[in-house]
Amino acid sequence: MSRVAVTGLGIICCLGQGVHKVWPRVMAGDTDFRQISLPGFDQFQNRLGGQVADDLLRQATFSARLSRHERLGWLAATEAMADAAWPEAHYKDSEVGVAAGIGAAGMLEAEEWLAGREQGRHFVPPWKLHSYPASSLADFLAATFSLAGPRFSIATACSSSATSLGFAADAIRCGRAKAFMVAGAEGLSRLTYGGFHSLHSIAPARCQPFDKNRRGIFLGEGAGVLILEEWQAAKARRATIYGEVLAWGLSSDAYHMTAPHPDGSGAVQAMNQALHRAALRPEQLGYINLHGTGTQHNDVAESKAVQQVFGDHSRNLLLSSTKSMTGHCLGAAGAIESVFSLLALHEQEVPPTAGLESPDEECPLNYLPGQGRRVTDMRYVMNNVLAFGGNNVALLFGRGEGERR
Amino acid sequence: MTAPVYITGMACLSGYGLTLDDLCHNLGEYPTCGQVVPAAGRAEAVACALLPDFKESLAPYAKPMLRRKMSRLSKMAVTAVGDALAAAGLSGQDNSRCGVVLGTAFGSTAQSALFYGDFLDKGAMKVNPGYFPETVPNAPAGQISIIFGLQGPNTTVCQQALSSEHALALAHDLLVTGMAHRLVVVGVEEMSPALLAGLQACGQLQRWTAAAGHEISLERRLRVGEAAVALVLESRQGLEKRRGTGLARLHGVVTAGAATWPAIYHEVGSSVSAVLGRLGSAACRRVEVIVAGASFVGRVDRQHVAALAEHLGDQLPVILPEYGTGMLMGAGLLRTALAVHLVGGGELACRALNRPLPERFLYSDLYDRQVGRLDHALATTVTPGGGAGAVLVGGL
Repeated sequence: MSRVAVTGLGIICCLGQGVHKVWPRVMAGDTDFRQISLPGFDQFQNRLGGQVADDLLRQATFSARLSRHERLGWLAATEAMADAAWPEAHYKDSEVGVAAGIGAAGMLEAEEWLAGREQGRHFVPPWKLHSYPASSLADFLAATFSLAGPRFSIATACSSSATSLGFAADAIRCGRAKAFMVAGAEGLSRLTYGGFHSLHSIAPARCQPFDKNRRGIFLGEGAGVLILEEWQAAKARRATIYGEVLAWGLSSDAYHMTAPHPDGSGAVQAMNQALHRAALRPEQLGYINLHGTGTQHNDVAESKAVQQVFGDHSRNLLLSSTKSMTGHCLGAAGAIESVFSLLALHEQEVPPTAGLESPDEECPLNYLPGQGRRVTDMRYVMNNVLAFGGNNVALLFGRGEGERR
Repeated sequence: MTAPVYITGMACLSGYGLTLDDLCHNLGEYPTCGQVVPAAGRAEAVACALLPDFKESLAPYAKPMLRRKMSRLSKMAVTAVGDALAAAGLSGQDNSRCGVVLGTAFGSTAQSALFYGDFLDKGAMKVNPGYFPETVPNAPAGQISIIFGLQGPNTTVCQQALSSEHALALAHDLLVTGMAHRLVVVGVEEMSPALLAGLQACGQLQRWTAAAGHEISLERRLRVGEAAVALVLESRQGLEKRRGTGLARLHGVVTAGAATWPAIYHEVGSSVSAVLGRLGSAACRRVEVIVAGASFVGRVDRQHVAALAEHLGDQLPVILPEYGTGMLMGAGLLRTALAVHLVGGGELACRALNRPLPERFLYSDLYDRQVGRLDHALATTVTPGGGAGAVLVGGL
């Protein structure tokens, strides 16, 4: 089966737009959480979150009918295509697919339609619903960039774009496509904010994953886009290769709709599956970008899972939750955190966990508080993503040619 | 395809009833998509096919306490999966290594409307948190994993009318790459009042007139229906390990193109050509019967049938089940289930591809002969956005 290279990255989140802007802020442990200013959010007593700056989403090139998550996806995709120095002549349109991961898709706009109807307004523009289907982002990006290969949209809440990346890599391995654009995009909406708010999952003041005083998540919004290419094709065109998608694991807790299994058994299964498929020993891994939401249950269960998979090596592993800086971007989280994982591998520097001040006895690992750090000879990294419904994804990336087997 | 993948069990809830037998026995007799269904708010009633009451079918799989927490979409999916696992001889077995791949175009629109309506009525601080978890499209797959103890890969794909084909394709890749040996593939779509109101507001639904009766009208809009279909897929390794038997072999799944509106009708023929090209000429030569998708959009359906006739031969028999069930959106797995039925020794009413589809016709005139007991059947669909999908199944 073919190997899969990552040759382009794009990102937008509350920390800014573009790898060159976001990555230094992430390495510095910077945060930019504010009171969300979107219409209707003033109903929430606490509405802190990671909102993308309005001016970034008001570009003249955008159609007024483009949803918030499509705008975010387009901005990150444009950066990723430029970063990959996308060679249109190198592939036929039909050889390049689009795999999208979304959470609430165009819910913010659909909410306006539904509210308008409930309020008895005479006319509510039906185009407000056009981005409601989960497939709208993939179709929009495929049409915009003329990509006519296989196209699918994964909707598994927080693990959506991580799952998309795994399936896209397998589609290249199975010969369904030569290259893929993998996009995760999420815009804030009242439905998702109200949902997490009603579950008392949102932190009242600070997002502090793995800290003894952690009180929950901050929701964020943004997009991450990765360009995947069949290895030989990428090498043939001398593309910059950030890393290789070595393998992935996918499992279900089969336990609870919103809570992780207390032992992290599903996450254990996903991580083991990824390591097994990549034929790697646990001690070969250097860094894990954890799911690390900042809830009591998640952080303990995930720490237990890491200890179970990596044993003594778990004490040496570098771990962090970048959600402490971006907020939890739900459907986009897997893609955004895969961008960070690949940057860690490529730049040989590992991002920190912001807001971590008081260690928790139940989370006894090295979560890198403060600022990021330089490393040497880090060859393998993992991105853990967990989700509603008990979904667990572990993505395993390597530096690439000649460094394994 | 390299490693063989087998279909070992299936189940189907549709407007025709709660079993695949109900569907197969009645499909050629009458359409169910003429039920008058109220849409939400100020929208007019529409013609649509809803499931009959399936409370008793669900009862063996979900306790009352759990049922109260589940959305109707989850209940539909759980019932289909329970029935499919039973049909595969896997009820009560250790299915912990089994996974779920679910396809749905819209997820639970009823639950999202319920939660958001509560938010609007009571305000952000008093909304019922119990409504929220089932608003996510992967809630049915989550409930399936919990109820049946399926700890293998679990995912949900939403690609409008191609959702089921994509679910099959992703499941296939999981099996051939060794990430799973057994998976339940589910295609499910619920026609909630909120979804019907939304589709109607976007001008996508046919206007319903009582005078039309069972007459099928091919115009510019859809007539829709709901269904829940589940297939159990196993690798040879998985099947041999438990000494099970298969119903059919999955030879290939291919998809191409867009799934969303607006319609780009001229692309239908080229997208059918693309998927059949990717399926391969050798595979196409084996096709003996086609179970084709139907949207009730005249230009789309006619171009679909014409493209199939051009590439596969205009004498081939074709079955168009969605003229009976209504267009099933993400529940198009029903087409593959019927293809499996045909290669497994079953029979169905059909018509020849070369018979043109008129603008209006009585459902009773749709089919003129029986077909069945064949070796290879192709399930195809096109989306008005210019996408297409094809699934080839064969006998054992």
